[in-house]
Amino acid sequence: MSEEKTKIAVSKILRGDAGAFKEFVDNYKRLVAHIVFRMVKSSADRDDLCQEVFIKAYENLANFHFQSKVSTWLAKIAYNACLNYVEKKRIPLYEDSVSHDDAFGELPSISSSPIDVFEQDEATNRLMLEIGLLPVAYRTIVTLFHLDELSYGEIGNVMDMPAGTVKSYLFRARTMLRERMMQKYQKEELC
Amino acid sequence: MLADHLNDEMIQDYLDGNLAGNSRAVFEQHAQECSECREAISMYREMYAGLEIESDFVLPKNFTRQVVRLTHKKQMGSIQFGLQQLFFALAFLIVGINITLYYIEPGQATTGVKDSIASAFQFLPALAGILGSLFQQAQIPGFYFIAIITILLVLFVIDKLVLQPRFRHAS
Repeated sequence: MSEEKTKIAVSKILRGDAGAFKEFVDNYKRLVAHIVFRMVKSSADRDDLCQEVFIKAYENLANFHFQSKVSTWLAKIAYNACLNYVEKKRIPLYEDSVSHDDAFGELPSISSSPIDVFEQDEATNRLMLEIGLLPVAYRTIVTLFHLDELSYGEIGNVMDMPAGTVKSYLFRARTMLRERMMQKYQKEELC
Repeated sequence: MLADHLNDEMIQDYLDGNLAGNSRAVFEQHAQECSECREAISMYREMYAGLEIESDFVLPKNFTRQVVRLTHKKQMGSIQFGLQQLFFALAFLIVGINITLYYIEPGQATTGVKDSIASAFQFLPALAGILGSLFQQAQIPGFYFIAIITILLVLFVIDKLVLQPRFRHAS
């Protein structure tokens, strides 16, 4: 959605247009889900939290003066809501509750199928599991950068950190992922 | 020409589009000549492709409808709360006026606390006088009016403290 269209949509929502708000939710629910699903493990809580993010956004929309992109503003609300939620509920963060070996134990072995497509899917599944094992800040940055195409500066705005730190965390996260994936494949080749 | 192999940082910078001009040209030249680095770049490319895959970020089908319904409910709730506040304030004002009408004679000087109350609420006797004459014209006895307001206030308090929390809990 272009900046001008977004401004029109926001003014419509502020005038009480439910249709405009529905469109707004449809446009940004993917972004909110990316953040919430990466940060919170419980599927039931994820849905509630996504709803909470949009309700907060709706309540605070009048105070939003387009100093940043709507996506950045909404991502910041989602990120802060997840941090508050995890803190309030004392829910273990994802990497604390899934052990590395357990995560791979759930997957069938690579040698179980010769089909390339299946192997590709399995590699993707493994990558997803490895992302889940990264520290929260790393996996949030990876998600915002690769899935939502936010810049270092925008991610820094969402997570309250300098753009340089974002770049450095992103580099570390991807290096970590590459090393872990390589280690796993090397282990399997030896077996 | 690079003396060593391409490192992780250089590969990531290249794939992120952060390399430009000469450094990009040097990078690409080395990649053409070195199979080991080409393999590393290829691995990273695969990983980048994996990172861009939407995995299980699935919200319920009726998610948008639910959010719109919830915000509407909240909005109605805040309007209702505002009306309740307004009702409470008006009821309080009317009861105050009526009490003043009964116990403070307009224009009559009182002493001590009564005096200070009377001076603080100077506008009330005047307002009460106007309303009193209106009531008289409408032939509504003041006692019944106070009784009705008091019953309404009791109902308001019961609704707010007992019925509404129960309804919220049940829903």
